[in-house]
Amino acid sequence: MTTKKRKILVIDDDAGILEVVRIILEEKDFEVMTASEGRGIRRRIEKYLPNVVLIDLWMSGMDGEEIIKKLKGGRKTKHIPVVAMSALGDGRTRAEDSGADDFVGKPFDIDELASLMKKYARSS
Amino acid sequence: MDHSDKVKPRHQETQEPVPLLEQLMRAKQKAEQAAIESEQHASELDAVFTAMGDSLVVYDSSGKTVSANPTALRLLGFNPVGMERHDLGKRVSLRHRRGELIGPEDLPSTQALRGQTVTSKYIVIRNALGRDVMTVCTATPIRRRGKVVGAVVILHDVSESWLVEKEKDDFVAMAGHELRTPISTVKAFAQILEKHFQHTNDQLAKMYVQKMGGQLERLTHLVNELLDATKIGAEKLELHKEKFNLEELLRESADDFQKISAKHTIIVKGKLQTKINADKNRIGQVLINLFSNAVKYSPKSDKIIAKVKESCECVVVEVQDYGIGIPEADQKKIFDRFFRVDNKKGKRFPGLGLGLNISAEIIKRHGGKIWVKSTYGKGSVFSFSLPFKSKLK
Repeated sequence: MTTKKRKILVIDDDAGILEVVRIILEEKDFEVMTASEGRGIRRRIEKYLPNVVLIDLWMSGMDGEEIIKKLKGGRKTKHIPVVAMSALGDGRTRAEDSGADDFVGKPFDIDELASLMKKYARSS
Repeated sequence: MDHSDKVKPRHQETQEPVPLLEQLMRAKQKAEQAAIESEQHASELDAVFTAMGDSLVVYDSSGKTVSANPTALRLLGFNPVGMERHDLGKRVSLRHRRGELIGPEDLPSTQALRGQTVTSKYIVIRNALGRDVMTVCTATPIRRRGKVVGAVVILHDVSESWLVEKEKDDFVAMAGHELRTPISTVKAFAQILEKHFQHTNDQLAKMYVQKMGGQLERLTHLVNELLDATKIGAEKLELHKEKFNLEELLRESADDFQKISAKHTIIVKGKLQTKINADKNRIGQVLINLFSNAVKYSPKSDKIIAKVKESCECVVVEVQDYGIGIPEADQKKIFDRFFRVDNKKGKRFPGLGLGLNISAEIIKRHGGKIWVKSTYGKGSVFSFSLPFKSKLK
């Protein structure tokens, strides 16, 4: 019997981060989907229904905090765990204020990132 | 009853009594002269009051505005012509630098009316037009026969230099973000490579990539210090408090540090039962900073002793090294921003000179104290204390 892979949506405007996070999480047997722009992001999430959303807070052209607030306020998406990540000094506070379930600061430790994703993918 | 004989004025030469009319004339002249002088004095004061570049507001004993100079009215967002002075306070609010409203009891005018003097306090004024003006405020009581009858508040507008400072802080915050992003990618790839070489059993390649990782940690640390220093400058250092055992954190931090610096052995002593309520990451940052200083400034020694103990309502941590020590004259400046100790040959040790300043600020914000005891040439003991019921400052 094959167990269905847990899905993670990673949203970041930095291609380097998207690439390395994909490698880290695919190695841990997650199904990874990435997005580098905010257009249509809610519809994509509603359609794809990931187990966890990993989202950067400060991106060019889209506001990570706004997206988190909308996800946490949306009927179809409010149950999805959202982990915010940021290279900003006050990232943790911003993450808490926007309603994210957890926060990971950049630069991150790859094992810590993977175990955080496992924790939330399991709970959802 | 007539005492007039005793006091009756007489002509200087003839010693004849001065007639009453003449006396009255003289008194009148004197009074007129005094009035002219007083008027001159008042107009001089008025000119100073009007032309002053700083804002000046005068309050009566009930806290009502008696007068405000044109600079003050402009700063507070009012038209200097024909305004109701007692309305000043109603449309203006005073805030601390971090944005919170100043309560009525803590207003500079209220403090001055209580007889206290307020000097050089940073205050943000949200004026009647809704604009925020950063000021340095001084408030002094006006006393008459020892009794406080009013207060003078002087506001010096520092908005321009403040804006420059804010722009600089915003720039450093943005630069920090931009620097951390590629560091994140490089660090993650280095970790992936390390695992790969572990898997293929390529020890040499693994060692090289570990060295890369160590340097990346150093780079991250430098960027973090820059960002923390900016936050301290802008009073934006945030604390996320939780309950934890400081002894455990001290042992964990010593273990972690030991992994990246094997030359020195860190000996941890002491037991602690009670938990403290503090920002664990930030206190861990202070410990790592003290360890790394202890290592950096004791190149010829191989031992560091870290102790934890309880001491009346407080927990105290000491980090002792057997290094170069700090000359007495430098000990007072050691927690200042950018201050660094030179070695005997005048050579600078690497670093930005921010670590101890940041550590001191973290401890201060927890309501604790930090200090140093050092003998030049023999070594230093850095200590900090944290109250068990740590209050946010």
